[in-house]
Amino acid sequence: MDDEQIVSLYWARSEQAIRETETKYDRYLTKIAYNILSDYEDSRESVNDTYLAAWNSMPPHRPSVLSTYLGKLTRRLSIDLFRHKNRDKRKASEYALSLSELGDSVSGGNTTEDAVNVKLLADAIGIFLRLQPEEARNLFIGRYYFLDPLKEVAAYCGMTESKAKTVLYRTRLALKDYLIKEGFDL
Amino acid sequence: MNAELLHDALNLLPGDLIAPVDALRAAPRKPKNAWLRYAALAACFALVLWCGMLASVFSADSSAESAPQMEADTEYSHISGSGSTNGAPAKDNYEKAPTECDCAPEVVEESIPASIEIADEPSATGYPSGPEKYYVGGSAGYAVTFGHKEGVEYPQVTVIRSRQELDNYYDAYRDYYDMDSLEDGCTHWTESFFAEHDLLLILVMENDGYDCPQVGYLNEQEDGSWELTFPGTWEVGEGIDAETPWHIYVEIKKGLIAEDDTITLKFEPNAVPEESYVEASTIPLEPTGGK
Repeated sequence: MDDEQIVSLYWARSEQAIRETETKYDRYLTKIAYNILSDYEDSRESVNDTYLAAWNSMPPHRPSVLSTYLGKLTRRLSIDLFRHKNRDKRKASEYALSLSELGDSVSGGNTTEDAVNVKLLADAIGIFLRLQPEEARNLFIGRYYFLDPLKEVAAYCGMTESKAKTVLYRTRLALKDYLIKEGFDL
Repeated sequence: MNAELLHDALNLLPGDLIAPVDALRAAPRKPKNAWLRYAALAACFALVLWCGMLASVFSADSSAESAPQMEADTEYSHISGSGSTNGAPAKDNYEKAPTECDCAPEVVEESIPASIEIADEPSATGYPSGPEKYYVGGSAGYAVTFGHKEGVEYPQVTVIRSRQELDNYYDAYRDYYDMDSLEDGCTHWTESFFAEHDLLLILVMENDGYDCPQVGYLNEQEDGSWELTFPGTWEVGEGIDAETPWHIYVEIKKGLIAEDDTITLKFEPNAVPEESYVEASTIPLEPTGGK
């Protein structure tokens, strides 16, 4: 079943929408969740929450690319779950690793304005990524959005792990410079 | 701002940025040709058989005098690249007495800022003008060693003559650079390695591009100094924090470079024909993490 039909089922409030979503995207979403949580049971919980969130958000939403829409839901829910379950101690996962890597681009401090600025920050990161070469952009999104392991990202971007690491390192530093230039308080 | 906020912001990225990567992730990977591996094994096996047959045929004819000549040739071939077209260097050049090292604990203090030349144009002949040419073949490599140390004048060249000196080098730089990427990739630098080899370690900064450095040739000049050429076009950095530090290594015959010899690093685009140098990535290293 194509995405448009599945979305129509959601809008028709048919429970088949969830079954079709599960059939088509369960593996895809579990992979995103597992990259963040590094735990199968937690990943299942997060993916199930994704189906519920999808049910609750369509309507009013009518996503044009369902995979991206569901992926975003899973990513957000998995990060929330990770933070909830690992408030005191950091578990080893690709998400935890990426936090350490992205530390290159920020100071690590906390300001009260942060919450307000997330949308602005997202816009700035979006513009920054559009200014990057396609190779660097894909690597960055693969590593820090999908949180795929470095080896995997390097493979699907068609380069060596060593080169991928160098490109990511440079992109993180460039992002930091860009955000400072745009007036973000890092 | 902290990294978690960046992740929250990434969640709001527009779909058109994410979709192409999603497609890449979903695309089937090109299957590796398993038959190539078996073909290579079969070829190696055939070569070994063929060599064995040749050896048995000619063993009766081989004289006692031929053995030393064979040994000398073997030693030469260790640092001579397959692309060398300039004839064998004089054997005398290999017979400088190896300099014994007392394993000075502060080996890093012996690191010297190398003089550096960057040629705008390739030389007319495509070859350097020195009297002898030692082509590096199969014994050079590199590792990106993320990190930074204030006050270091780049590039640095260090001649390592023993395992102890190598350990001292690792220890001295470990707090500043990701030395694990070099150490993990070069476990063959043991005491027995240093019985026959010295090691040139070049720490150089790169300020743009992602190309791996390539080692061209190691060439002794008329005044006894040495020139190590990099035929790439990558940009040499000045040592600021945002640049990428590389450790390039060249394995050389023991004693080839004396303690008081000077080394010039020459970054010369297209200095030698491509077939005459080996890409440093012949010996790939996998960095394990930055600092």
